[in-house]
Amino acid sequence: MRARQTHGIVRPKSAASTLLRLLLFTLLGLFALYYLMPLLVMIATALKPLEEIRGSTLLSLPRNVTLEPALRAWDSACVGVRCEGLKPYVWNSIAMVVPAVLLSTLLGAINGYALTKWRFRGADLIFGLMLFGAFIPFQVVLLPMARTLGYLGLAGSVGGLVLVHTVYGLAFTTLFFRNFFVGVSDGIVQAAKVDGAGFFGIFFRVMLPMAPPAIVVTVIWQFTQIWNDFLFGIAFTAGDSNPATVALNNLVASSTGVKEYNVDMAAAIIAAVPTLLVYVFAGRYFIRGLAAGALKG
Amino acid sequence: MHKKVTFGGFAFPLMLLLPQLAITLVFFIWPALQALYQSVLRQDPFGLRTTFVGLANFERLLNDPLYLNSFQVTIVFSAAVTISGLVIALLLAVMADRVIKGATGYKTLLIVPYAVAPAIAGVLWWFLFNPSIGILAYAVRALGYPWNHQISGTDAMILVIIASTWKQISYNFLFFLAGLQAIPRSLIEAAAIDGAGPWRTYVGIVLPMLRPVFLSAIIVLAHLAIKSFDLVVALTAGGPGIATDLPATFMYAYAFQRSELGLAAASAVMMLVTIMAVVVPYLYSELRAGRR
Repeated sequence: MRARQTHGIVRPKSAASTLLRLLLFTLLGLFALYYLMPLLVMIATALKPLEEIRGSTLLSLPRNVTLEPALRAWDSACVGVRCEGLKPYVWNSIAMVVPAVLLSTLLGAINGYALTKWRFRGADLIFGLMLFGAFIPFQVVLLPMARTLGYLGLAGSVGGLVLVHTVYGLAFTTLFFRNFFVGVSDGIVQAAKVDGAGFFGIFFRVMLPMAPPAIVVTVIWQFTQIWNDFLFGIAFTAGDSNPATVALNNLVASSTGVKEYNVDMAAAIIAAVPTLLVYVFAGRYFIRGLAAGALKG
Repeated sequence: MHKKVTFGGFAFPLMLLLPQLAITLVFFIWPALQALYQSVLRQDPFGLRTTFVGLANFERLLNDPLYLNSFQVTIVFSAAVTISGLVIALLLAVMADRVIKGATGYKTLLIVPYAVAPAIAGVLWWFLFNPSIGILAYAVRALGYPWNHQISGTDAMILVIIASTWKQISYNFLFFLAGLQAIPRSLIEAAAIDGAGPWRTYVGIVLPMLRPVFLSAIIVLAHLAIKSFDLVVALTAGGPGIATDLPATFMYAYAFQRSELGLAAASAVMMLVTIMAVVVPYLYSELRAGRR
């Protein structure tokens, strides 16, 4: 009967504590359901023929598994007036995400290194401004940015999106690398300098080789942010240059005639797969790095 | 404390500084000033002439029932998402912390909504609550509530809150869990030896120690809720009517659909001010704490 008070030191096997643990697992399981149900329903629906959805078998698994909706979503479903599926838009997203992630990560690493290891007057001011950039609501920059892209001849193009994502990602990438490099001893940099290494020599040969944890977190973060972006995509691109998230929204909203829910859900899977894969394979490192960085402040 | 490494001259730091300053000025400060400038101008209907109108746009904005509505909506929405996000994330973290075995697997599972784009999450929840074929709409109706978020503004609001909370919990769960696991076990054991039950241990010791995590979780949740756009567009597009019209959707409609640039800029400035009111005190205290 004193069992609950000694929890954490000894764990007596009493009926009450077993019951408590059972309750705990049930609750955790229920929440897991809340988490996963949307995805399970999405997958189950995407694999069903349309007649099965129309029937009353709401929660049931598909009886006749079919890949036809997935194929239609990939290359023949109509997005607006163009009926080539999500395929061209997924390519747009890839053409946007790869250069933008690489550029913003590299520049963020250089910034973080310069801000922590080459402290100069005004470094704090610059860092403060960058933090401001991390929180600025993007609605504020939409109109002026549209004009800037126009001047640069990048309006409505994937190249314009690469520029926008690189610039507005910098605040976060710099923050991540700064927090990481702050923990690296200044002595190492000094030693390298005594040995005659320059600014970039130290960066590429000393700092970067130490930084894989920060690089993993930054790349995953940037990839997710940019792939999942909707606001910049819808504001700065039109029709053919839309990224996948915007095209998905148009596909779901625009299908005329019979509503093909299975094709909608298959399209949602296609748009979600890249980020989901990243988290399945690298999520652990991301969680570890994020928690460590956040607690350090 | 020894001195930081510095390069001999003044030229090199300056070179480092310049591109940074240029980017900050061109892409952050200039747009913010542009928005400010835009917000005191009025364009004629053909976009040919602009006239300086002072604070007239703000006056129009604050007298615009549509804007006032979006302001009200955002208060209800942000408060609901922040509170439910905090409570559920904390509850989950406490439970996951007590179940040591399997916590890693659970963490990986919970990150899934975080990986899914808000626009995609919008489509998913739109489907689950679809009045004609959605499972959850069906379940709610079976319980006796006539769910239809395409007609009822309240239902639409509940839907947006549920979906948004679903999307936001992951991140806060991870922070709370990391915070819980950073609390020394010896402290909790000492409390147990002194005769404190689990309830008193949590309320008296664990929660106060989580205060910094609480603060940053509230800031993150609130500022994301104020900025919400993608999810709402995909779920309800601000409807039915204006029931879920947030400042972000309001601003987007005025800028890109109605071409009311002055009003749109004024609402963007209002948004900036609101976000800054939430974030700046937090950043200030963070920076001060960082310096020790």
